[in-house]
Amino acid sequence: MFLLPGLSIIFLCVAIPSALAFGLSFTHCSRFLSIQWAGLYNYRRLLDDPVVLKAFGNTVRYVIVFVPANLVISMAIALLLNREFRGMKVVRSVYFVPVAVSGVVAISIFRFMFDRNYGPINALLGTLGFEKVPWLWSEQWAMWAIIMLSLWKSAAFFSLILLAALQDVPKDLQQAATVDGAGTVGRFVHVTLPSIRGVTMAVLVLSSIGAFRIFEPMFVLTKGGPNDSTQTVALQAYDTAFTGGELGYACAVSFALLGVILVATAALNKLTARHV
Amino acid sequence: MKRRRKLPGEVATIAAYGMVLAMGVVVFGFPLYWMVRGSLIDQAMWMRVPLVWAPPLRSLSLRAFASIFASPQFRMSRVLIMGLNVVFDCMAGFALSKMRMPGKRLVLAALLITMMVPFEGMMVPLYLTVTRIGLADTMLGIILPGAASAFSIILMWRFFNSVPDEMIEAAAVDGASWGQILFSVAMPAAAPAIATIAVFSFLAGWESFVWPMLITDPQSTFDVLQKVIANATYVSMGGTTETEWAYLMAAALISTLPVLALFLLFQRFFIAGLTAGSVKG
Repeated sequence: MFLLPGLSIIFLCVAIPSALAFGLSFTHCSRFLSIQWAGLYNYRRLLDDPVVLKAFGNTVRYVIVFVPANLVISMAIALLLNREFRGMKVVRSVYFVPVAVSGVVAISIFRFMFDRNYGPINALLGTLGFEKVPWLWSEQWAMWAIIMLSLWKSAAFFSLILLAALQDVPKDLQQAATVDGAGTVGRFVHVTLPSIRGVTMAVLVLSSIGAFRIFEPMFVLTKGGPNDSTQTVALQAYDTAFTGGELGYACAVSFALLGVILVATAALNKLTARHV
Repeated sequence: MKRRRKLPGEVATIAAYGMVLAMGVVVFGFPLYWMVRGSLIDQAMWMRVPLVWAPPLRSLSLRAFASIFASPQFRMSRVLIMGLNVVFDCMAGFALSKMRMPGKRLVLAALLITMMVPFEGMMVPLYLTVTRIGLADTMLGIILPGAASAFSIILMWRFFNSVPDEMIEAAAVDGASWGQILFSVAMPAAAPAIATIAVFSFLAGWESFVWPMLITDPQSTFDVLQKVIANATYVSMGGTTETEWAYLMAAALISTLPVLALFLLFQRFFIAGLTAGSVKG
């Protein structure tokens, strides 16, 4: 049968694990697979686990800064690139290159960009007469450094999507608005934005789902430190499972995150449906 | 058309636009320059204070690249993921679209649901499952979870739906088996869609980091790039690691180049895949 290989892989590697994860979240399950029913214990425990709460706090903080900044920057870039002249293709390619750079590679490059002694960012700050900033090594700045590196990668990706949408906006609509006396801002708000509403929504939802699940930069760069200032929920779940060996609790943390994502996505949908 | 002389106000606007555009090029392009620069210089140059923005040509060397390419089994697992994906997803998409069988709707719905579970949620049980069937620390263990994708199956299903049934029936009347129909009639007709899923599965396989790290021993040699990056990137409180930084940047550069080439060549399919994804969302 043609279906067999594809479906059995998905069954084995997605369906079974997800069902298992949901089941395990109601048990005490250790690294050695001694499974004991726990009911809702894991979920109650995470409600007053200070480390998990801090992780949720950090994650929300990240989302609140990252999502709006990402939308504004991506939109600005898309508008900037939505013109035609000779050489534009080359310029666009430079802007979109971060899309082709994998997450881990971007992370490893920025590890050096932000290096406190030998990094170009601090060198530039020094030349401009500012103090050096100990980016990834300080509780105060580590999260900001990670936000900047995520923006570099994802603004490129989302502006690519937005630009594709902008190019589908009918030119005669724009011209009609100009004839009616609309300025640049008026044209953007009343003509462009409504026509790319669907894609803008998709960008918002996709980028916030991704932001809630933020894991790799912290996992690779800071391991949640310094002093838990970059500890996020996904990372916490990973640590709980593979360092702490509490598999059941880790699954509960993941599903709590999934719950938060679902609620946030639904809220976002509702909010934008009403306003636009 | 004769070119009109530009008014001073227009010139200023264009100049401002050009400056913003150029600034963006610097912001987006600079990290890549830094990667290339970093892969070619030695540790002493890395640590030079004040910083050398453009190191002199004679201080550059390809040492780091040579040592990475010298390792065996360079990145096979990642390429295999793409190949298997294309074959399996086409088979499944084709069967769902063109073959008669009970429960098709159910299978499609189940596939959609599996797409919603985030990887972190099932990481732990997936690890348990794959370890249980004895694939921990093997290349197959890295490949297996990535070897089929619900997203691509659905994409192929949608595409095969638009291939006319008459084409399939004509081939069947001529005595072609299902396998022959798939590989010599349906798949050639679906070339653009196949290109899209090939690009996507290649990216997914090539870029995956957490899973390979989880399922293999950190010191195993399945994937040199993975090893170099995992070992050297962590910001320890001291700030430096034993690995030379040039190796890390060379590994990063090597793992970027194929994706970059693919991206620049196939931008069209890439965007097609993105829009297909956003319709779903």
